[in-house]
Amino acid sequence: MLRTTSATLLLSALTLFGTSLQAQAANTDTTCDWTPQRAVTFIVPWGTGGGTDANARRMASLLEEEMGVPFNVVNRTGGNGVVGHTVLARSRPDGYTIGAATVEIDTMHWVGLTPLTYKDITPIALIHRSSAAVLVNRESPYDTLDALLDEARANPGSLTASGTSQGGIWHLALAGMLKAEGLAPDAIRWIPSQGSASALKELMAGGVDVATPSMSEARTLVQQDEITPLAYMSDTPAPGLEQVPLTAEVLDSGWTLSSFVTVSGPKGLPDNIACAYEQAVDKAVHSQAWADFKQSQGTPVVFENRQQTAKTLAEEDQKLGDTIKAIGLAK
Amino acid sequence: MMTDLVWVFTNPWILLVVAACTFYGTFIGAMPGLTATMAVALLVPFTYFMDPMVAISAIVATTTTAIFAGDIPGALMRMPGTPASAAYVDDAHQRARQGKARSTLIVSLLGAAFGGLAGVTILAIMAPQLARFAIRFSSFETFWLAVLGLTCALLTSNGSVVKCFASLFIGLLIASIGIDVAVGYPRFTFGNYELFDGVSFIPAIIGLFALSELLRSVGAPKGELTMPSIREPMGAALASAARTLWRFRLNMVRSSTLGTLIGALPGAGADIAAWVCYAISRRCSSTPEAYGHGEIEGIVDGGSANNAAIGGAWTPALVFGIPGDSVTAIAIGVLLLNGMTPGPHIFTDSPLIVHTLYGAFALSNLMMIPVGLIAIALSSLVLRIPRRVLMPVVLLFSLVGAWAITGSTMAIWIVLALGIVGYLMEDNGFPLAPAILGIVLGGIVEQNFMTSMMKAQGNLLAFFDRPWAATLGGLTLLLWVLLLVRAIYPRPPSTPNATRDH
Amino acid sequence: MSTMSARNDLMSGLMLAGLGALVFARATTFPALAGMAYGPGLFPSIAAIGLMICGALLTITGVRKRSVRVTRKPSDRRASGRIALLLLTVLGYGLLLEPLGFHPASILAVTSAACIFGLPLLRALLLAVLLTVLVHAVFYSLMHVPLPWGVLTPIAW
Repeated sequence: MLRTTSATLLLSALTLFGTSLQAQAANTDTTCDWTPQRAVTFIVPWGTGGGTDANARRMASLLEEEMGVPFNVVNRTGGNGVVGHTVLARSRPDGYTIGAATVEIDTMHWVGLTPLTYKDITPIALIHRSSAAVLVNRESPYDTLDALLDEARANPGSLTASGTSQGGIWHLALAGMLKAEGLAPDAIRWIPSQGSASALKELMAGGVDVATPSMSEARTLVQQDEITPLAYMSDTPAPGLEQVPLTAEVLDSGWTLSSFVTVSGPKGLPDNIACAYEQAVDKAVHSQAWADFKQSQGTPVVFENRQQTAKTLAEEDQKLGDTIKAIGLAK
Repeated sequence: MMTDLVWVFTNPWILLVVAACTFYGTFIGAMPGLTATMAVALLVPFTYFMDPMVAISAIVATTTTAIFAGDIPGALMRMPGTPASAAYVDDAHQRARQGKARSTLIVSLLGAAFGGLAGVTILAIMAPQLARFAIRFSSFETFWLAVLGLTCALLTSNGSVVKCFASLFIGLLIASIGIDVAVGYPRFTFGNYELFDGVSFIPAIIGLFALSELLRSVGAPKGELTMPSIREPMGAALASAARTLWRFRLNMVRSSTLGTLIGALPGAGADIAAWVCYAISRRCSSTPEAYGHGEIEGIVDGGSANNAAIGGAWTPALVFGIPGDSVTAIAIGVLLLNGMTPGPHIFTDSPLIVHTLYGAFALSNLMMIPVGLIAIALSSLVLRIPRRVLMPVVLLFSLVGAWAITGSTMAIWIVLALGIVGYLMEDNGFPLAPAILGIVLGGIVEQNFMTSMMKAQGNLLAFFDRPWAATLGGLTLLLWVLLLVRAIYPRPPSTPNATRDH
Repeated sequence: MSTMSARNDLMSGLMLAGLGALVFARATTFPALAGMAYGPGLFPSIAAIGLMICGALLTITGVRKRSVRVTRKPSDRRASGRIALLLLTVLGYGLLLEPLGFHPASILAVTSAACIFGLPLLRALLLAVLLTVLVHAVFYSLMHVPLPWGVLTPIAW
């Protein structure tokens, strides 16, 4: 029974060996000599079973192989991401606590949930990106994004949408798109939900008219024709769902929005530790096991190193802050 | 399908893992404060190293046995090991105090095995149809369902109606701590970000049930509060349990069926199934006044319903990839990690995983019988451990178990605060069960209420607009009328209070 | 086997009504939803009003039944002492767990609890050490719960 798994492990080990040579060649100047001596705690600010959790757990198990100590995943949920991110930022920067900081580190402080910003964490790498989808019930009268926006323009407030909490990233996706297209940001009323799963449930039960969660979380239901995708908020098609129109092409504003997951440490993580993790994550992301995992999730393999991730965090913070101010949610 | 089932029953890896997980589930379930969800959550790291079929079998075996094993400390110490055992904990404990611990526990073991087998049979036959039905539930229906659960908590509790309601409102207030669902405003958090997620349920139940019990125990004059003694040999207990189950065979069938259906509703798991079936059992019984004081009939119903619900909860998980409870939420994550996506296609694309699931259910419920009997036989050893040794053990496991859930000291403070609240409530004749249901369901009720209100823009009639919402809402209102009647015409005072007679 | 000792509906009624009033006062300060008459305060307000009504009803019953109040038994004072000590033990565990680490804090807490329950000191200490090793094995080694090491961090594994 365990044969297939061990075969995969062997394969990934070989791949890892291959990529490790490359990575080491690239990083000879910094001292990346740190290795953990005991179990590492890996903090996930979101619940078990979700998209961030799946990415974080797979990454933790690959880091476990890479660094030779257990990586214990701890889900510190709540407060729309505040709890987990705060715990991560405030933990001791000794390398024994790292975590998955998500796009919310760039939104929470704008909506007044927490004083915490991306400056309170040490980015290590960016490992996941996924864009929002505009979804409707399969019996919905709207079969294009234009038809939906026309209805919202003609009767503001008559349509409802869901996908996450008030001011959450998928709320920004919808409100930002409406604003960019010249509508009122609340022309489609936002109904807060606890996560994408319950929003999709509401959509299928006919409780709301539209849902805008990430495409990767809705992928299965879309492929089964349970729900109809009207658009994908990206400029590159989702793997396996190439037929879905892209907002970058069909909208005049060219609006796109994506969320991301990073591996980050607390503020003040010493350079040699961050560098050691960066190398390990680099190897893990370029392994066959990770490629297989991303394929099963229907998201592309992405990787950004420390400098790139820090830049992304700063840029997105500005961009999302502008969106939040534009739609009147800033505090 | 049959060949797949034979494959499951003869596969050495699956047999080994199911056997190991049966013991693991029994251990975790029997520890007060450690729930089936926690058992599965802690199992997830191990499932990474397993084949998906084995991983699924491990999860199924662990939940099945943990839900049953929750009855063991419930009966012996009045500390339900899992929330699903809380509905009938008073009955089980009263019987244990009469020396009938073994036959009571065997009744719940066999009832659980029957419920589990019935649950998986119904799951196998009706999965797609059930899911089609359950998936039509929007926030309106879910709201009424959760309110129905709360109403059942009031109906199942003994004691004065005013105190039941007060206990429920205390629970609802505790549930309202944390960030609110509508606008994300932090309520009653005193600026502490750790409370943004609200009062974590496991530390809360550990505080209300375990710590308050320890406080009562340490406060009792020495020697007065003894552990129940075992007066039945295993053989006699088995025979007596078999007679009981035969007598209440119709209850078992009714509660197993109903438990599966309730489990299949998203968000309603084994806990609610046990409460609802216990309440119905009491309504239908010829001796409703004995409920809460050692009536075996309610244990048959509640015990088979909560295990049947485990099977039911897999229905929406399998068919739509939407979990029925927290355990299946974790299980979906494990399936996805192994490259399998739950949904209608899973029945045609990977029938093996579906059949393995059925097989694992059948296997675990059968294997649970001998393992459960061993656990029941050995539980007499636990009783021989003196209180002054056992209580510190329970204290440490409770505190560390609570800490493991949140990974922060906040869990200890919640245990401490709710331990004091629980002790004071019991000492003044307030039943704890409504408070616990209030904490569990308060969030669900509020979230679905606020969502519904925002959708309907404040129009309360919208709560009866959809056919199933109207049906569930009507049923709930009917039960409220019943409660009012009970408040105006109270039962004769000969019925003693639900709390312990110390 | 007295009926509920220290049962005092009057006191608990007044306390509940007071708590309900406090919560209600706080909940009315919560912001409302844009353009609507309700918001985060709605649900706590409903519960608080319910609590106030229950408290008032209990107070009325308490006044009527005041003659049947049961006085505390004399043994209760020592029992209250033990309850307070056990609560202090839990408090100490919460305060010491992270700075001191799981192992020393657990040994202290179990020793203290066992002594409160009446076990001689040496046997309490023995129990505490054995139990700490067992909990370490189950939670840390088997289940990978990241228990805090505190002062023992240098020798952590």
